[in-house]
Amino acid sequence: MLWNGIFYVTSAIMLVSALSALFARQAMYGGLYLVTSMVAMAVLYYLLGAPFISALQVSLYVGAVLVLLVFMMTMLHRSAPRGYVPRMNRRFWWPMLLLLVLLAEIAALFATGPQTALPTIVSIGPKAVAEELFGHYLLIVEATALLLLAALTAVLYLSGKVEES
Amino acid sequence: MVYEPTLMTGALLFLIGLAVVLLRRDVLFVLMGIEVMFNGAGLTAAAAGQYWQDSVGQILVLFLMTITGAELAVALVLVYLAFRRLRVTELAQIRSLRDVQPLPEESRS
Repeated sequence: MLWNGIFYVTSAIMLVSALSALFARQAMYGGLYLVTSMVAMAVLYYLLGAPFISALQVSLYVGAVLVLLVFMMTMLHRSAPRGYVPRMNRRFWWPMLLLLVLLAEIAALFATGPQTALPTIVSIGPKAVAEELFGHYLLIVEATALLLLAALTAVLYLSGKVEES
Repeated sequence: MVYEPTLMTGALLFLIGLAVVLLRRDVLFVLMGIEVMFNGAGLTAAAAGQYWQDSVGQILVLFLMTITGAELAVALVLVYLAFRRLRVTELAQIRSLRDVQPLPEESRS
């Protein structure tokens, strides 16, 4: 029952915060809602029995992709008045409230021990994923590395254009 | 059975991302909507992988995350180039490929 409750509340938080990104006025608030949505997604991955992907969701999406987005927001939106102090208003507290509910859920989840509540959920750990990834799908890993190299080259070339202009 | 609500949640998330892409005019919000759509697809893939108790779903999510990172890096540099050149971040203002009405900033090559 705890599993079901946490699952549905997390799904609701994820959907509501993704929907709030649709109606956010400033890009920074949209990014904050997006962070909440992605942390909720990590909890969902953990609930589904995929702890490796859950950790990667936090470290890759929240840690890298959204930091990149927020960094770009600070570079693009220079029309905000100088000395702008973010006040603790309502738009600030709603994402914080959602994050706090998520935090309480994670605490309740880890306090109750391993997830053996439902027999249909089978946890597939990092070892099985890595064996499959570097065994059967090694060629695709190499192709992805090539894709990342191409993206790196493109970004370096284009940032050289930024310095020229 | 928990996989049906998960698939429904993934589909709803994809729809919300699509709505963000279609409704917002700021290019940063469009990129955020694309991220939300990737998340919905990833949740669907992971749920399907767990349903068949196979690690292929997680591997698919892993590749999805990597490709999202590569896509977003290139897209953000392009957005920044457009901002440096045109001083706008709204998609409706980025129209310098059009024939008529060239923008005054486009005089230099």
